[in-house]
Amino acid sequence: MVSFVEVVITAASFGAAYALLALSINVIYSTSTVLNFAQGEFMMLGGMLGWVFYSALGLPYWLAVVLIAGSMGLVGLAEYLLVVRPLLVRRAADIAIMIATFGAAYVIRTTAALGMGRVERPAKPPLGQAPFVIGGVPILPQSFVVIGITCAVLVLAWWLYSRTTLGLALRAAAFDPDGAQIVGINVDRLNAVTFAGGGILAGIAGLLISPLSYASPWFGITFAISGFAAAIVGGLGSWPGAVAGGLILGLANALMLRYVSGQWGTFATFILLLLVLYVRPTGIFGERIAAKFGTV
Amino acid sequence: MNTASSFLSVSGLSVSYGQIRAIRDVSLNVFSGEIVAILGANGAGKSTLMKAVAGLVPPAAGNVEIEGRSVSRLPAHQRPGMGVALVPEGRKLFTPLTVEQNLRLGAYSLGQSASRKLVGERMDEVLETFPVLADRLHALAGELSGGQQQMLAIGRALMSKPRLLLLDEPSLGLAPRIVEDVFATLLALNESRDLSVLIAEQNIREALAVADRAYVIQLGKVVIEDDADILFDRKDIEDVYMGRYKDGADREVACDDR
Repeated sequence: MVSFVEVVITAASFGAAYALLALSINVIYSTSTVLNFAQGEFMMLGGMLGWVFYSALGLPYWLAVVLIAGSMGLVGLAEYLLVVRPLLVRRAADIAIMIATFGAAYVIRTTAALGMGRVERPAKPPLGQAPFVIGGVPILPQSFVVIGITCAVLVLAWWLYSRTTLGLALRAAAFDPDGAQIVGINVDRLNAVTFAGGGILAGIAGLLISPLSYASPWFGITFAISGFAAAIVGGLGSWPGAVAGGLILGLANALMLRYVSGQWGTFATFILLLLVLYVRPTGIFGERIAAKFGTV
Repeated sequence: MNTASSFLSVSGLSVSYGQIRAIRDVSLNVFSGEIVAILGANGAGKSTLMKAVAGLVPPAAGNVEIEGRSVSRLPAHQRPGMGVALVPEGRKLFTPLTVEQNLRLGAYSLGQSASRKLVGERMDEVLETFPVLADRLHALAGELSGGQQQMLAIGRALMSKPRLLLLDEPSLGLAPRIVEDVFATLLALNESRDLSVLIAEQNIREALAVADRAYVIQLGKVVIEDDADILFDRKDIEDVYMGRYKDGADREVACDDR
């Protein structure tokens, strides 16, 4: 029982962070059709900035959140304007753009490592370290913060994409950029908006998860693997898929952590990714996307 | 011809794709309230011309003016705001979205300030023009038949209350009876002469039957320009299609006009 509750909570809180990262990947992908491999580094920057603003400088938590959202929005925008847009304008192949985002990830990671060193920094959780005890298991309040905020973000994203004209425009731009332009949608600007939004979401994910792991320039890669795997397992571009994929990977990682070893988490991630893709090449919720976005 | 009263004025327009010049030195006018047809075979440059007027391809030379104002440097997404709406070849509907959502997006250029009421009024007008869409408001655009999709594409364009409607091959892939319906609707829309229409077609007879004037383009150049009824009576009109149009079979092939 004890280990069961422990596994569930670890799975849910890490799963929520993966889901948030997968969501941020989807936000960018489902409008611009760019797979942005710098998302893991955005998450890392969010964690590092969280450490700087909250743990080191001692700013109020809400202010740290606002500052991180602002700066990560700018980082996302900068990546779009400096790396992605010039290639889109020249009609570069998708694969070229993808590789360019790898480059951006490398630059961000190296800059962070040069600026902050390779140290793993423990980030201070906003609700303190005193655990709740559920079923005899001590649980860090941060776990609930991660899960709660992720749920809130999901509801917000659902509302934005299904109930607002901006959401419709974001979907239209992804589906047919020319069709979107002729009704007056500024596709270039929407792409910029999604990169800023993707930066903010990933940054917040990093801020939330860093008290449960640590903040260091290298943690982006680990999370990027899980975030992309979550997005792909769930079905690229699918919102429910991001959540399902995140939770499945969270569970796999938690089980490995509890019963085998933390180092086998990535191994489990890839095995799961392969298994899901063998059975459903489009991911769990991918078929619906294929049907919706397929040729008619 | 008096260009002062023309709604659309294209002068000396050339468009290239890489080394290939798709249209060269094309000049034409659409006067307010007119229906003008662009006729030509597959690959003659009709689609390129329409895309250039809509801003989807940049001109290599020449100028596009809307009501005397040059729009050649204006990006495509700003042209609906100038009163120009394109019904593109292949329709380019948002097939994963519903009919209603497609129509709502058609009003996107009216801006965030456009009230629900205004968008609702536009939608009522469009649904009055195409009653069949009213029954299918919540269906996905991709589930509609070809004819319904064409009506939705025109309806979406009308949502922005355009003053010039650009139609690129509206009859492509449609049954003859549906084509008749579409052209009859165009005539009805144009009846009050508030709406000008520029229509690119391979289906010459149908297009000439509704048009006031027509331009025939061949290999990217305007070769004939005349009143529609005069062209309609010309027996050699089909010959300018370089024999490609003879059996009409290629009409069914959704070929990229580029």
